[in-house]
Amino acid sequence: MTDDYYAIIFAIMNFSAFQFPLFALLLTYLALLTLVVLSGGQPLVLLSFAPLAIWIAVLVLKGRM
Amino acid sequence: MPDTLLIQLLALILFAVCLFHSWRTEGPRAAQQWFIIGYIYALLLTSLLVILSQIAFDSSMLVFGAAPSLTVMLFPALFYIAYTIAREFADPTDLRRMAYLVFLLTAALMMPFDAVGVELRWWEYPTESYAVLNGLPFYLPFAWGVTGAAFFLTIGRIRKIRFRGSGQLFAMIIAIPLVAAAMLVVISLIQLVVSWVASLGEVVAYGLLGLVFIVLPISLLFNYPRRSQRPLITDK
Repeated sequence: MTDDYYAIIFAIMNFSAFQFPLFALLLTYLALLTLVVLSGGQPLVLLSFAPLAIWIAVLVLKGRM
Repeated sequence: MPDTLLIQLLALILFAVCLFHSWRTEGPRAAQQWFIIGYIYALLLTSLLVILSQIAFDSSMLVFGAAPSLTVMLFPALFYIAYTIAREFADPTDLRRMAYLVFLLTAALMMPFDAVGVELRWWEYPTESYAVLNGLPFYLPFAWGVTGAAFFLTIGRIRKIRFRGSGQLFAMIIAIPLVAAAMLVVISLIQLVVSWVASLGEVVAYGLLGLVFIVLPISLLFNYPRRSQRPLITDK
């Protein structure tokens, strides 16, 4: 049973050497965004996510994602 | 549940995921070097910044000395993600181009954490310098960018030196406190330059931010700056 769990984890980790850290980072930012929205944070704070959106756009346009 | 528990948990998880990924893809040696040295660097630099009243953390955070022991794990994790993305645009042995990309990426990756951290009062920057986005010091993206680039350059340069056994790790352990101390001087200089730029007017200040966050990343789509044909620093 434990081997099955390890197999699943390694399968997820191996889906791309590049995409996995990015996937973890996006989940982290999603958690931050949710927290800001739920706590009624100022909309101006959402602007701080814009540089990240630009980098995602660059990676997509370069065909790296 | 204190709010700060969440950021500490996020930092810990991101650190663990990146360490595990680095261990699997680059090997145990590279992973140990990056994350042990990165953690020491983050602890030292943050402690110095706290002592100099450049940053203040919420008192409910777990601390080691003057620095929050779990929250600073964000630094090596974000540096690693910046390094991973930078490798998509440059040869990892081309230290100058990689450092340039790590600078741009670290600035962009740290920005949301800082904005949310200040908004939710996880930490604050007790400075009277020019601020953007509801209390974020204007110099901050540049300071974090330089901090990330300096860390990458230190690790990258020492990895090019052939040492026996754990020689590289020990060389990094000796070098990184010096780099952390040097960063204080560099951050002070950045504060001076950025304050001067901000004094020229809001248009110039936001233009500088636009350059780092919009123009330079987009210029990569047009292959600018061009990749060098060979590594700028060789093994010799």
